[in-house]
Amino acid sequence: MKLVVLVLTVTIVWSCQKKFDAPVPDVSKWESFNSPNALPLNKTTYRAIEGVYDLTGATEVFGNLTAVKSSYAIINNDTTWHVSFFCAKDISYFICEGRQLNGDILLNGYWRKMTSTETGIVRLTISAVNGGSLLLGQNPVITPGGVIIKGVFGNENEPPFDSLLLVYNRKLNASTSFKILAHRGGGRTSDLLPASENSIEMIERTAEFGSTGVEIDVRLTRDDSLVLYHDNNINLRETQKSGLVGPIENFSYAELSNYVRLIHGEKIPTLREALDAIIYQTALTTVYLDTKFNAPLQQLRDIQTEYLAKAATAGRNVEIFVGLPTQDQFDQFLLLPGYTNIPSLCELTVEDVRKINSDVWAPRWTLGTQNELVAEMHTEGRQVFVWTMDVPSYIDQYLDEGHFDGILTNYPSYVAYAHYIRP
Amino acid sequence: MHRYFRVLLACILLSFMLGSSCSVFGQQESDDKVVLFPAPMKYANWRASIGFSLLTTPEDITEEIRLRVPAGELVVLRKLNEQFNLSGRLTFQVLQNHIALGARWVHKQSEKIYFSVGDEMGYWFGFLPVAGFDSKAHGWINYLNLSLGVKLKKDLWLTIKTENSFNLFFKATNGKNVISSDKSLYNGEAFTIALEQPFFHKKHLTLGVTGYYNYFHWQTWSLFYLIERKIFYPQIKLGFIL
Repeated sequence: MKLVVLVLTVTIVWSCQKKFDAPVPDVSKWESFNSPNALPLNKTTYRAIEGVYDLTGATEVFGNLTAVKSSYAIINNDTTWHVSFFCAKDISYFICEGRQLNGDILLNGYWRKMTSTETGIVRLTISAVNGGSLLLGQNPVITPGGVIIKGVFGNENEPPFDSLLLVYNRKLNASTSFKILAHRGGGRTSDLLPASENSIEMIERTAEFGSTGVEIDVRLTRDDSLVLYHDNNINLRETQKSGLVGPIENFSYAELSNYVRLIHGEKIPTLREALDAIIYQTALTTVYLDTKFNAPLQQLRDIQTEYLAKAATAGRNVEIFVGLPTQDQFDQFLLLPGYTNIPSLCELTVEDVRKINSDVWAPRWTLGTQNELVAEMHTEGRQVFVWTMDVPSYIDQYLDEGHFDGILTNYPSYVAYAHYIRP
Repeated sequence: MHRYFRVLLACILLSFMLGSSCSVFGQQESDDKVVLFPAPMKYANWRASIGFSLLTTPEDITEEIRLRVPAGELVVLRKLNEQFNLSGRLTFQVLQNHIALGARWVHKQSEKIYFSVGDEMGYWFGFLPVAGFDSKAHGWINYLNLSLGVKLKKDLWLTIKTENSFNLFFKATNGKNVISSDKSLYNGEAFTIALEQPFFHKKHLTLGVTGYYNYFHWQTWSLFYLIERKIFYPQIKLGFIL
C-alpha cells in the first residue's frame, strides 16, 4: 500500500508542469571574441559569408546542410549585423555576430531548436587559410570548398565542446523576390522567442530568423489609436499580469501604455511605432497589416499612405498592404474612396480580389497549391502569399509544387532554409 | 465507404454489444457498481459504462481559442478471475477515434482501500478531408496505469489513477506526404480523480477529471503543431454505468 501511495506521489510531483522557456544563452564569455584586437566585420564580409554549406560533425543535431544568410538591424543608430545559419533538423538555427582577429573571422552566438526548448552557445571560426583572408578582402568570390568554418557548440550556458564543421557548397538560391513573411512580427509567444509577438523588439530581430517581411495584427483602442495586438482580449498568453481584462477596444492607448506590458516586458506598440521600426531600423520589404478590427479603415489607410511615402523618401522599397481577412473588413474597405488603387491583400476569393483590385491574394494553405488560380493572379499582375505554413514537409511540397510569391509562417528560419537551398 | 468509417462503425457496434451484454451477465448485485474504482469482480463477469468526455485544447496550441473537444466513451471490464480482468476503452469522435485493450490486476487492501495496476495497448486513427486535403493519421500508444481506490461510503467510491503513456508509433500523411513520424517514445502522464456513485435509483455514474501532461495527445493530431514539449490537457468525463 505504501508503495502505491509512493508511486502515485512521485509521479504527480515529477510531472508538475514546468514553466517552459528557451532563454538566449550568455554568449559573452569567448575571450578571443572579446579581445580588444577583435574588430567588427564589414558589410561586404557579412554578405560574402552567405551561401549553402555542407555540415558535418553534428548532423544528428542540425542536419547535413545549412543556408547561411546575413541580416542587420539599426538600433539606437548603431547597425548590428548578424549571420544566421538555417538548418532543417528540428527547425534549428544559429544566430551569430562576427569579428575579425589576426586575419581569422570569429562568429559568436547561440543555436536554438524551434520544436523544443533546446538551445546553447555556438562559436565558429573561419581561419585565414580556410577562407578568412578571402572573405575579408575587397571583392570576395567564393568557390565550392573555398570557405571552411570550424567550431564548437554546447547546451544552454555550458561551455561549448561539441565540434562541427561547415564547408561552402554553393550560392544561395538566386531568387530574391520570394517573400518570407513572419507571423505576428516574427513569431508567436508559444515559440519561446526572446521577444514578444507583435512587439518592436520582435520586428527588430525577425530578419535574424530569416524573414524578409512581417505580418502584424492591428487593433483599434477605445480612443481610436491603432496598436499591434493579436488576441481579442488582454490575457496572460500575451501580456504580464496587469489587472486589466477585456478587449483591447475597451481601453485607451494611455491605459494600455501605462498598465499593460507584453510577455517579455515590452509596451504594446502603436502601428506608427511598428512601421517606423520596419522602415528605419530593418531591411524588411513587405508589411502585411492584418486588420483585426471592424470599424472604418480610413485611419489605417492614411497611415499606410504616410509610411509608403516615408519609405520612398528614405530610399526603402517597402510594400505595405492593408490586409482583409474577413467579409467585415472587406466591406469596410469598399467604403474607402478610390479603394481599387489602395495596396491591399485579400484573404477571400479571387473574385473579391478582382473586385477591389488587390495587389495580393492570400489563401489559407489548407486550400492546397491552387496552381491554376495562382497562375491567373500572376497573369493579372498580382502576387499570391499562402498562410500560415509551419509544417516542414508541407513547406517543401509547396515550394516544389506551388507557385506562390511568399509564405507566411511562424517558422521563417525553416522557410528560409527550404527556399535558399533550392538550386 | 471509407475504410476508417467501417472500422469505427465496427468498433462502436461491438462496444454497444459488449455494453448491453453487461446487463445480461452482470445481474448479481453484490459487486460494487464501479468501472474505474479498482474493486475485485466477485460476481459479475462484465462491467461497462458509457458516457462522454470533454477535452479542452491547450493555450500552447490553440492560443486564445479554447476548443472543447467532445467524445463518446465506452469502458468495458471482463472478469478473468476475481482480481484479474481485461479492460477496454473506446473513445469515438467519428473523425478521430481511439481503442485501448489491456488487463489489470486489482487488490483489496482493506475494507476502504483498494488498488490496481494495469496496462493497455491503444490504437488511434483520424482523418481530415478538408478542402481537397486528405490528411490521415494513426498511431499506437501503450498505457501503464496505477489506481488507488478509497471507498468513502457504502455507495461512494473515489479513484485516483495515474497513467504513463508511450508513443510506440505515429504517422500522419497528406496524400503521399508524410508529415511526421518521430514522436518521442515517452509521451507523458495522465492523472484522473473520479467519483462513482448512485445516480437515479439503481443507476450509477462516474464523474471524473483527468489532467493529461503529454508531448502528444492523439485528439489534437489534426492541429499540425510541431511543439515537442509536454503540454497540459484537462478533460472531464461522465459515464453511466450499465
